[in-house]
Amino acid sequence: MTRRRRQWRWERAALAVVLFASVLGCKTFSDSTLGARTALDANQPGEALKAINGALKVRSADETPNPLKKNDALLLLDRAMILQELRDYEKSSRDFQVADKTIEILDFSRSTANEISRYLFTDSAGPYKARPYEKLMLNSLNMVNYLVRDNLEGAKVEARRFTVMRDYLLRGGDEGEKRDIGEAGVVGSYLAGFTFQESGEREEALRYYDEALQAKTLQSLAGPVRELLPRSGFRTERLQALSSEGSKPAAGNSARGDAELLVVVSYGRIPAMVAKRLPIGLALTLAAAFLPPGTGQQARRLAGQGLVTWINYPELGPSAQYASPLVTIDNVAQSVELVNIDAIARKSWEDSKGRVIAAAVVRMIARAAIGAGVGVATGQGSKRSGLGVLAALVTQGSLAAADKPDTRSWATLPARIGLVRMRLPAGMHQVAVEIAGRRYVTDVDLVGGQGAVVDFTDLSQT
Amino acid sequence: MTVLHLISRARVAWAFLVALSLPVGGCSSPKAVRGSETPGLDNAAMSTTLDRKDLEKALKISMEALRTSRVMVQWRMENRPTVGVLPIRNETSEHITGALDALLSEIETQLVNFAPVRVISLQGQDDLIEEIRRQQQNSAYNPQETAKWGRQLGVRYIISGKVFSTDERTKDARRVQYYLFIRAVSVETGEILFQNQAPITKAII
Repeated sequence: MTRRRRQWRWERAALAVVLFASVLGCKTFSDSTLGARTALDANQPGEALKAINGALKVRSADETPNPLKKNDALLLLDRAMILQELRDYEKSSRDFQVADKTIEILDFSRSTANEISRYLFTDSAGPYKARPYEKLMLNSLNMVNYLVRDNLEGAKVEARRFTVMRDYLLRGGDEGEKRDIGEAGVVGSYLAGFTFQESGEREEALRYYDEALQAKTLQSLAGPVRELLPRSGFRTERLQALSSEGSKPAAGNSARGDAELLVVVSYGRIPAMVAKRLPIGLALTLAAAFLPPGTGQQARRLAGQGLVTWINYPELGPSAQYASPLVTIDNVAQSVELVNIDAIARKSWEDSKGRVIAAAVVRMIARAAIGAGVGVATGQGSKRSGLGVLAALVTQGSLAAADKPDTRSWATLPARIGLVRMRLPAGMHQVAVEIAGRRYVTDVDLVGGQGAVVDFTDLSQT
Repeated sequence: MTVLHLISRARVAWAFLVALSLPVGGCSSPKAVRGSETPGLDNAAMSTTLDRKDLEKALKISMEALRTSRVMVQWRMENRPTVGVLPIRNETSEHITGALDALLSEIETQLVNFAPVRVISLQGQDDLIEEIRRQQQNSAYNPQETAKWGRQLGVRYIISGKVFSTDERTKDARRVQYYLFIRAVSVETGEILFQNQAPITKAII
């Protein structure tokens, strides 16, 4: 092989690295949904819908992408929430279901190319794998879509799907370690209990209410539990304690023509993930427990040589502050029980942060090794050490540029979900909700003996 | 380190990049196909929901059991009594209402074609179907409830059914085991005259 041909060969290799890295080095996922989130903050959900349709590359919410591409399932979750705010519950439900099925398939998919890309380039290579709390919230929020349409059959399907996922996560999920899911299942269990209570399945209802009460004190369940317990064989100490608190049961209310009204208020948004740079020293400290043996030492050596100064990683953005919403029913203020989804998302992120940073450190070492390999080989091939050093730097620099932090997350999840529940006489009632100065009013016609659910969604962070 | 080692390392790096590039360039665009022209298209399971092949299998099991049951003898003796088929209840973890509506139609078709009965169809009575569906969600699955609907429809016998499932998930798989229950109930007495269960399993592995 002539010297010229050898040189061309190494130059070609270096060029390929740069080209491949440049393909990956485009904007992050959170950048691509910024338009929709900005519109939601401006309280323009219609504009947010247009933006998310643009990201999905469809003309309107009547369409779903076919086939779904890499991050479309996540974009559909965003669109489902926007449609819920727009009260287009049928389409919201459709999007949730498509996303749910897709995420399920993606959970089981393994791709060697994606794993290699993750190892070398970026965590955002490959399809999105939803976080545990996102999977629980998906079924919980889709239950709302069915309940507001008085579709108990659909709500029960979502309740059962929620239970399959909850049980799986309680058994340890993908990590296989038993763990507490905290308040991530409270809304789902509460709504599932309401669904089965309305379906006349008392034991199932109590079972779900007990699940919700395991994670959070919910005074609004005292009345329903008092009503259900005497007519069911299901008992727990928690349920009995709640049942004995406060006033006596409102037995026979249904027979008198009363009905239960459940108001669900979803407001704010959990923070989106943002791309961050972290000094290598701090990264090694934060990721120490998650690094493979010897990796920390390798990384320190590279840092000592001045080859690496920082790593790219995704960080959960700062949380917004939210005042409690004012909920009135027939002009009487009601107490709201709040579930802080923001806190659930933050805890989930804090739990996984060390692992994410460790993965970024491992990628950095892999890049340095490849850069060094290409550099030495180029230098040898071309018989010019300067060209080798240049090739090493270009390769490593290009790969570093391609290290796109994985900012994918379901960032249109409401920051808080408030629940208001009360028994009212059959007939027309006015429900008003005030969120950050914005007032929403709905009239609801209650039918005696039948429960009803009203939803208010405001996804603005302001 | 020898030159040979260095070249070998660079070859690995080059092959690595080529391998990574393959999925980028190797995509093909989807196209519409006809089931009759694509062998095996209907055989492949696409998800854990019930598809036509599942319904055909479940129906075949149930209808064969019905053909050889005592209630068929009774119907022959009664000179074509009236029968109504109620919507099948979905008690699964999948949204399969559409599939169950198709199953209802298929049961009616088979009864019309082979059973000595007059089928009073609910097809086209969307409001009634919706009402039955709603009531079904608010009440237990029992013969008295079924008979009540039969009286409202003015038929002597009612065919009703439900599908329930056990759904399990592990790290690498999800399995849904469906059980389709079909029963025939006398509207007059509420007696269950025929009952059969057909199992179907779907999974993502």
